[in-house]
Amino acid sequence: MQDLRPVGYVIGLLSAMLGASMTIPLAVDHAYGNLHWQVFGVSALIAGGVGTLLALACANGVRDRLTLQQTFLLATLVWVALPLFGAVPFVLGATSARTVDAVFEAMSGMTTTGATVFARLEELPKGLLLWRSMLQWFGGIGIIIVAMVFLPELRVGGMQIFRSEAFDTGGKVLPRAAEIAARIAGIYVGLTLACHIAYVTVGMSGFEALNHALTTMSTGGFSTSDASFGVYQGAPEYVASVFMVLASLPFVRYVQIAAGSARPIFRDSQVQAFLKVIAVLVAIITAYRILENNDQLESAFREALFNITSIITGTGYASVDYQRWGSFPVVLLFFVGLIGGCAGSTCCSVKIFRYQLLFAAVKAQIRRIHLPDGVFSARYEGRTVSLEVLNSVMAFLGIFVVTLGLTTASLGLTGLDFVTALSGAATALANIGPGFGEIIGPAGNFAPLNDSAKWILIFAMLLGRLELLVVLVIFLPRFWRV
Amino acid sequence: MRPGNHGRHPVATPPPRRRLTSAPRLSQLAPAMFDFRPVGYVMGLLVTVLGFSMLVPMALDYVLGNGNAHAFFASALFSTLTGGLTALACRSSVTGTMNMRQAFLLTFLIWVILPLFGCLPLMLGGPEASFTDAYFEAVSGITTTGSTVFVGLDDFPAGINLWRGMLNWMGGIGIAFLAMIFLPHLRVGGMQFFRAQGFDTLGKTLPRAVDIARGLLAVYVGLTIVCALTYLWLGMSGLDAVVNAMASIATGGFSPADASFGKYVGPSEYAGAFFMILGSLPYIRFMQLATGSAAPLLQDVQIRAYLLWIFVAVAAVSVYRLMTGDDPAEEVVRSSLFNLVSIFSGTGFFSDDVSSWGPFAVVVAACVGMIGGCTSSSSGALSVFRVQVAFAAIRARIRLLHSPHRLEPVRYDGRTVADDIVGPIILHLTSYIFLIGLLSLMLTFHGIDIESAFFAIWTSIGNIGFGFGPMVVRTGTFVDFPESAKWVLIFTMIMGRLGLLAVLILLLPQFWRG
Repeated sequence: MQDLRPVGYVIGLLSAMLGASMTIPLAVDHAYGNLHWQVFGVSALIAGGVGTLLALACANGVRDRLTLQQTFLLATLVWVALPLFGAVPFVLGATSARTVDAVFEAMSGMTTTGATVFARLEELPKGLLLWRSMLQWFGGIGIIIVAMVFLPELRVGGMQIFRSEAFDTGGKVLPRAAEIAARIAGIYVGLTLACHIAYVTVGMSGFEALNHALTTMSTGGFSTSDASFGVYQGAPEYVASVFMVLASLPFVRYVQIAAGSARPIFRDSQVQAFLKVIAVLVAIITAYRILENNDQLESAFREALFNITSIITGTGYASVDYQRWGSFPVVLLFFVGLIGGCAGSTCCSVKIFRYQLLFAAVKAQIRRIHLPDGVFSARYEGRTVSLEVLNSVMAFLGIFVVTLGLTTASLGLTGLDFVTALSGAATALANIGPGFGEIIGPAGNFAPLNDSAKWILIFAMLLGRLELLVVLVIFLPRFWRV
Repeated sequence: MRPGNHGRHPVATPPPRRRLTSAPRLSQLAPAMFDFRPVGYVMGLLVTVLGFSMLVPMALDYVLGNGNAHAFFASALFSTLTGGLTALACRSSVTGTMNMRQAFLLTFLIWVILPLFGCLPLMLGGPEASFTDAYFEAVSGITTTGSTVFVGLDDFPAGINLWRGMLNWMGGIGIAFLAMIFLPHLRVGGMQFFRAQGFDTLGKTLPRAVDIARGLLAVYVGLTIVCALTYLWLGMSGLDAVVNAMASIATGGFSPADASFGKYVGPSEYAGAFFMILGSLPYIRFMQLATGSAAPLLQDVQIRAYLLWIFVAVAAVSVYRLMTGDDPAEEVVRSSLFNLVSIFSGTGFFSDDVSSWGPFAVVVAACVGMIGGCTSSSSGALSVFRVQVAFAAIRARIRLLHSPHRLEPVRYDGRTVADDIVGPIILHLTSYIFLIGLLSLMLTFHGIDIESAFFAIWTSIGNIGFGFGPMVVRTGTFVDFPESAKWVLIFTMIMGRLGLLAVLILLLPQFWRG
């Protein structure tokens, strides 16, 4: 049996911190003179109390180092425990949600998915809206730290190629995490403030700007109204596009910029590929809409830019119902969602670097078929990629596809139609937000789905956020043997 | 790797082979040029054989006196003449061996050019189809896909329906032959795993390619005759029994009726399922069975997995249907068995409307269709073997996460699978799925809805022949698709048949350089 105390200690601390953070929406509701603040008071006590007790109970077993098994458990349990505490205000508060809905919303928040089960958002108390955005913001910074510290160490899905990068502090996971968190937090807060100011400049109210800044920088996608970005057409779409792209670049590059060297970000092949892909996709959709639907150039370009950026980064805002653009754009957008942003950002999905490695491997393989006696190796950023990394990437892609298929099948089993099941599975695994079809499309929400479908999606969001393998390894029988 | 090599150029290039002849030949004067003649020679021979085979439906139509025989006569004459002349013209350089590049080109051209001749009777006779439709039908036949663009099959001249069945049948044995003898040497999609195995286990009894081909032909013809007799016995008309038998064993799926097996519900469905399964098992096992050893057939892990997965899929769908509907149990099990086996083996017969069974059944159908039958059979799609290896590789990766310093080899059938086989297999899997996405995207560009587009590509790339979605619902065929979309599907069927990389490699500029 594993020693669970270090895991419990960290989870306890984080839960207590989450509880403490509930005082912010409490203050907001109180300031607006809304009695709803009491809900956050109770929730804060529950989360803070349980968290503190858990941390105290486990404090005697804490060491600097975590074993591999503890690290896997920790990463998974963080994304299980925190959404449970985060869901408490939804159950007690104005939404009076059932457990499944509250957990869905909180999981969708913490995993920065952005799929919602709540309708008529405009009528919810301000504190509750802010809480949804805050969940995403926490989830965003959480995943950056996990992606930078834990995943390379755990060799998940080819992430080990980022192992030697920037932060090599010699294996002491927890102190290293704290150090990185401090540096990243500064940048994350700074970018969020900049985003907030930019939104206010283009005409959002202070509160809406704050919410959207929180969910933009975390590529989350919760909005303060049912129409999402449909109420801010025009300049805010451009601003949002810029910040969504910024949020999906590798954060380690910002740390380097802060340290005075801007070159790495310009020479990062992942960043270059990501920007190129966006440019090509926007050009295709814009051209298609102008030629096929006779739309105006500016609006076609703006809507294409905003919605494609929103989906490729996994944010999940929508400014129009893009299903009306025709079946070609819809299928394209579906696949765009499976691309995802850069590693080491708040983005989820397959991620650009895996495709780069895949293409490098395909190229090498075709050459090998052609000249069987030659020696060819896949190359990334000028370096030869080891077979081990390639195999991990391939295994990741394989697992991604298999999981997508199984999730679709199980959703189909609950009675959803094919398009809803497939796009629901994809949007949950890739942590995007809206799906396709009449129910969960950009104009709808996830409320009408049955409970079993919601639980499946909750699990899929968790799997997708932690790169699948981190969660799946826990189900190995030998994981629990020592 | 040598420093400064940058992975672009092979370190060890095989020395160019020169033939020793007295007079200098063109190929020696210009060594960078591709020598097409051996390819042309084999192509010519095959076209001639195809032309002669048209005499069979010609004879049938002549006997029946339905006035369609002349179409086959003209096609046969044209094919044998063109083929014969090409073979004669290219004969000069045949040495008995072929280099790698010629082999690649040949495999590709067989599946492109034979349908060109095979579609002639469809244009000249019975259906009087346009070139696109006729070529689509012929490609669908010869790749053993079984998608059709014709409606009113029941009223076609008997010879045309027989010809469609024959296209399926010849395509089936062609791919089985290719998969056993060619592909392992071309190292396509991990097939080199069978290079050692296929010949080792056969090694003593059937040493050479010619013997393998002879054994294969005997097994194939034998199975088809047994299948046809069974169908006859179960009450099919003579023509239907023969055509359905050819299409079953080839896992092709061309039926001489618009309703496909819907015309023969009942015991025929069980027989059909049985023979479709036989058609999608590795033929090498039957050859071993014929020489008296049943053990390889019974102990093959691929066959066991295939049968198990069929059982699971049929059971799941049957239970689902029994719980959601109120059809009688026997009918539910029978139609689930027949239609799912038809999809799993890549045949494409249907006896019921699968999409009416509910979304879960469609998703299961989509999954089993992507898996497909066993390797070295006439079945298409990913094949059970590749999926098994991919699963084994994934399992090994997850275990490695848990204990990074342990050795976790990928194992299949008790043997360790080398990294240079696992890599291509997973690559094949990912590029397969990637291409399904890309090609369905191309189809939607022609104004086809998402569901129809996805399933059209799914069925073409896996050589299945089953259709789902609004655009195929009306008649169960691809007749409503625009011309341009049909060409996308034609390309997809050929690519699916040959293994993706074998086609993509022809697009590589280096392939054509020396």
